Amino acid sequence: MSKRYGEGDASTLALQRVNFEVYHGEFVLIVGQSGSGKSTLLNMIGLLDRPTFGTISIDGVEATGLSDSERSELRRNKIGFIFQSYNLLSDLSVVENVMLPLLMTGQPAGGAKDRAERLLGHVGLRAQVNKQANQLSGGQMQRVAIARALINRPALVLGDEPTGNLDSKSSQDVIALMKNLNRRLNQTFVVITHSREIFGDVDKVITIKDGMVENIESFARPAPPA
Amino acid sequence: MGYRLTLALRLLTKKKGNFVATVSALMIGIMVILFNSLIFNGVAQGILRDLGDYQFGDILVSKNEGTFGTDSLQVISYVESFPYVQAAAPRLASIAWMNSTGGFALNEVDKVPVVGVDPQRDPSVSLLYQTVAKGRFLKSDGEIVLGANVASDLQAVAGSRIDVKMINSRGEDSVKKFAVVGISSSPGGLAFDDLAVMTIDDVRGMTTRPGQTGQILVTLADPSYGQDLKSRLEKAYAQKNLNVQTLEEAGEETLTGIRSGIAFINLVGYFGLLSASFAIVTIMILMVSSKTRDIGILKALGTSKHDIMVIFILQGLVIGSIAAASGFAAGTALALYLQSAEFSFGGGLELEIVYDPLFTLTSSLFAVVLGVAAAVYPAYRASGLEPVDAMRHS
Repeated sequence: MSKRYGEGDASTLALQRVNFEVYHGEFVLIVGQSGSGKSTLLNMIGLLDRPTFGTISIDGVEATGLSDSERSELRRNKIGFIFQSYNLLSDLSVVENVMLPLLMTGQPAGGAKDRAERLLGHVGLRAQVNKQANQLSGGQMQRVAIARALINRPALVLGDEPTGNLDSKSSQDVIALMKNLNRRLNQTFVVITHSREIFGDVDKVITIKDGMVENIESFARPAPPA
Repeated sequence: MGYRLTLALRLLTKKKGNFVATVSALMIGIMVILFNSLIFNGVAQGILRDLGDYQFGDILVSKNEGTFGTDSLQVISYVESFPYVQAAAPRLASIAWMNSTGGFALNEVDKVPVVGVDPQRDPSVSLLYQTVAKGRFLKSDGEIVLGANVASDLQAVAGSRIDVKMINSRGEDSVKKFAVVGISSSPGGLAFDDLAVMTIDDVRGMTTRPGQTGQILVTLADPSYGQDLKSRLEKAYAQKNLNVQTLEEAGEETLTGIRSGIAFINLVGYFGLLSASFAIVTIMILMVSSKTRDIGILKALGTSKHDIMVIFILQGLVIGSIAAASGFAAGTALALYLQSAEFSFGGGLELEIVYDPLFTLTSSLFAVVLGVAAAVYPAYRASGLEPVDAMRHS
């Protein structure tokens, strides 16, 4: 796919003939310098924006020609987001933030809350379930965001510089959590970052430069210790 | 609807100032409408009450042309045969010129409306006798009760003697001396403050109209039978050219101007409520702006445009509902208070406050409609935000 902003001589080609596949259960990094088009690419994959040319398929569903409400439904059911600035709703508590995607899909509140609390336990935040989201530390908020992203068991979790606002310790904790969930739940992650090293072993690294895919590296990750 | 309502309430109550402002704006609008309605309808009902008590009774029977002769007794007898009729009494009006020498000067008043009443029957059909503030009501021929303003012009008091001149049926002057036995005054001025009252026989004698009656006042034990009596009278005396009016019909000319004023004031009130709704639109647009980032997050998570609109329209519904409930409660309390306080303007006309729960409810529900309507445009703006741009909003 390609993405052009603006028209005529004032237009900018943010992405050019980007073409790759992500397989179920992969942990994929998209790396590049600032302005390389990583965020634009993530917005395309997350159906937050439309490509100018080309197609995007998510879990077998061709998303490019969908209406706004169909794209919203696909995001609701198939995609989870982890943002650099966490993007939690400060008016809601921790558990309410996590269960929100479930409520959007029509799940009853009681069951949604139970599942949210279990998931918060998995990410180490059981004691904070009833706190207001804005009362947590950065690392804790990002773990809430991870739980929220996973609650609907999406086909794909997208991370937009998820460690960008965290200190090194918190960054390591969040990365370890994501990789743990990737291995245990076979959850597919696509994460954009400008620092590939902190993520360690992954399945695929896609390097973006000037809006084009410069390189795709696939790795056979070592099996986890028994 | 569950999570949308929860989100609507959370987003709304986070900014308590905006929430209070919008509810208050609508509630004030409702209270203005209710207050106007209570006061001005109270004025109209008070006027109607006084007209009934002093001038028209519950039913006013007259002739379309001319006056009753001896058939007035027949009509009175027919009317009083119904168990729901309390009493009926005749009246005859004329115009008089009066003078007195009160205060050692000749005081003259021209063209004073005079009402002739049956002093035995009239107290059964009207409260005119209760308006005598000084002295007493009529008992016999040769006595006169002056309205307060007429007495003031004549400088007459109870006990004075005045000359009264009328024009008889032959066009001749007819002059007679009268003893002033009472001065009449009413708070609303709708009684006989500008008139004079004498016996009907005195009016008949001075105007050489023996046995004539101009109007028959009828008072009902149960006013709900007014239309029934009217129908029966019109049917029974179809050939007699009767003009039978209920109190509302008889008072319509007096009330027409007031009703127009009430309608205008109510219109002003509704425009005020409309203005309140524009204030709500402005405040809700500000709320959308302050929640831009949250809207972007919701859209990124998969909330559809439709659901974003529902959330903000629910906010309008909540605002309108709270304003409606508060307005209904406050309007009811105001009406009950005004009823118990026997409100009047500066000791004048005592208002007849009528609490209409249906009108109060309707006005309050109008707030719900306005709250929702005011939310539509802000909801539309919110739903159109692009999630990527919205999430960058600080």
